[in-house]
Amino acid sequence: MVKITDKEAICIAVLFLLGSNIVIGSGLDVKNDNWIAGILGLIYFIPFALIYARIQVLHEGRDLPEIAELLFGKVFGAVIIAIYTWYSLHVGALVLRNFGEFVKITSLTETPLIVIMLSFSIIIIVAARLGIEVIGRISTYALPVVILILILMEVLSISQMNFNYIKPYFAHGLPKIARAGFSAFTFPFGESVIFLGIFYSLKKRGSAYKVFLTGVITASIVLITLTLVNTFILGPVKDDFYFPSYSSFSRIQLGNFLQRMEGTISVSYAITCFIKASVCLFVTCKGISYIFKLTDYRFITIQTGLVMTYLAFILYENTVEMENWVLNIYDYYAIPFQVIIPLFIWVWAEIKNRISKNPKEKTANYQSEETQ
Amino acid sequence: MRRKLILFPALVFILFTLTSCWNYREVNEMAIVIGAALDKGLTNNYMLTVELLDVSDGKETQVSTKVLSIEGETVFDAVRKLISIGGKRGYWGHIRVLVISEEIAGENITQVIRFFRQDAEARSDLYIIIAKGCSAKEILHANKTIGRDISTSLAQSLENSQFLSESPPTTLYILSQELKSEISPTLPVVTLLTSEDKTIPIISGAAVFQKTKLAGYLNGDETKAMLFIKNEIKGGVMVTKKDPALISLEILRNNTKIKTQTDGDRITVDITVETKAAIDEVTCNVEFSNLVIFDDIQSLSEAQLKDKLENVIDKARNLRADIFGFGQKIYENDPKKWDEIKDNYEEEFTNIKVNIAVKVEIVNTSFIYKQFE
Repeated sequence: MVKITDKEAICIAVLFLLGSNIVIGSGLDVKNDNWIAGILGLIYFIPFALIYARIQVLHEGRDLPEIAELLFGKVFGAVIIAIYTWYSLHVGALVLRNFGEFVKITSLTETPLIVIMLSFSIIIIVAARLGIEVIGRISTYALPVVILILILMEVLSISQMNFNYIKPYFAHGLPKIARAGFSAFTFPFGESVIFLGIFYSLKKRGSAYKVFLTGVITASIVLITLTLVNTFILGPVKDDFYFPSYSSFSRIQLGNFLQRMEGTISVSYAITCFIKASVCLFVTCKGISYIFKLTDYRFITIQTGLVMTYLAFILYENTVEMENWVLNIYDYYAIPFQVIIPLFIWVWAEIKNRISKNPKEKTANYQSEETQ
Repeated sequence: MRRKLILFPALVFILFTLTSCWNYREVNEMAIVIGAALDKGLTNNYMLTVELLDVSDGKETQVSTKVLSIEGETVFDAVRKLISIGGKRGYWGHIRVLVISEEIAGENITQVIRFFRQDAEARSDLYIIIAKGCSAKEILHANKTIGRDISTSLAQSLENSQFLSESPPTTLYILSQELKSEISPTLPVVTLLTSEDKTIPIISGAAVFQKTKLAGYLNGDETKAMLFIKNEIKGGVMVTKKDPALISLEILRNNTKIKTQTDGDRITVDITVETKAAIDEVTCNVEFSNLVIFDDIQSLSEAQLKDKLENVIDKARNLRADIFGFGQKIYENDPKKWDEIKDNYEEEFTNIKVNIAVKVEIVNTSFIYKQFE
């Protein structure tokens, strides 16, 4: 059985949460108060991170399909597995599409979208086939690169910043910002519900809490910093762009020799999107193989990868639809996957846990895990 | 072994197919656009004039410039119609300047700049210039002074304007930021100077916009005063009168702070200008080695700079254009007050109380301690 260390799991979590959010930015309409919304999103999410982690800790070494079947039995469990398999397939397709659109609009304008996405999906399929251990090890190498590039670009762009753009604070009123915070909750934080499909392979018992919290908080620091940088550089025109951080880093100009550096940021886009899409594909394949009782998920990675690519291709007709989906629809679409069903699973898991045969031994077990 | 036999042809196949070249354009197939000018068309909506770098291959690659004009229904329409006269398709990634005629600016400047913002090829660091007293087309047809082409000299002139400070070097992204915030934009102005049989484009002064419409012009000196208030001065010369001498002060550093206070209906703006300068020239002997006279020069230049600042504020009030961004400051510091006054801000702007405090600090007298008699 493959195992990943806590460090690898945290790296996967951070890259996953950054993926596609650093490309298209979070879909909020509160302009310069975006960063407050980001912080609120994190605050909303922390209880849910604990819930997701609790579900994992209660079922050490089991992935989401197994948990679902254990809790809800064959038929209803299969429904839940199918729902989450669809969700992770869909998220993977969204990531693929976002990255494909980014490449098409900024550099390969005349290459058909499907070709860009197919080439990208080749490496995703390879990664998913090699399994979570390999994705984990790539992540530990890739995360420093991504963070370093972001820090480098942020430092280089200091001369282009106008710190007054952040004022006035709370100009859009607390209700609107609180609502925007919910957008930050669903995209990207809430998407970490997909981790329930990979964290079965954590080496250490009970480390899910640590992994979830460290991953989410690290990612949110990176994202909120990036939002602030975008606000400082672009100010009132920030929301006009599909790819705000790309646009703001294109302003970098140091003398006449260090300029037009925005190409560098595409490297971090590629890495984060790659990790996110691979994790999604891996979880999808696992789910499908569990429903159809296949012996190994590896048989279906290529087919599922192609399905994901084609799904990405037919998701939207154009970029305006993509933006509209991110801004207006995704928030509501994500509620059942990120809030309702996990709450349901958690409550049911707690009840089952209480009435299980050997309560004393189990509670003792959990206490020792929590104090770790 | 069999695995390797299958893998090898597959790898060779991939090597030649995945070159990431779906399509390709050679340099000699492209007409590189380095500058563009927009006028109202005679038969169609807009007339687009472009300055192209024409690269011809041969033993030695040769670069020449050409200026072409075409009319179109929209800007992009004209851009593509260029193919019908030039033959080659334009490449817009290297465009440096966009000259816009007074006529278009007088109607609404956003009607033409939207294309350059939206198109993926054109970059948002291009300079936008208003042609005053002539059509935009004539600017690109003017005689070259130094350098290979008009557009590059115009762009360089704006890049180096930080040592002159007589025109605001406004790029497309600064313009779009100003249009979206509560500042009236200002753009550099280019005019044609005729000397002997040559016409030469010269950049000086600023065009003042009332949001999107051209409202008036500032001359070079007024532009400098405006840049002082906007804290965009990085250099330049400040001439101080001390009868009968004229003293040139080189501006070394400047820091301007704007504070707004809202107290009931009254709005006060406090401007503090702190400038460090050096005496670089005196037209007749001024004993600046004498500390009393030295201090006198300082206070004279302070008073004269303050006059200039007050002048340009008055002028902006007459044009009803808040080019200094006072409105933006009010919004940043007191968004509720701004909501009250924003509909009537043009009127409100003329009634704002402005306090100016100027401090000029002369830090050195350059190379010379005493000038000759």
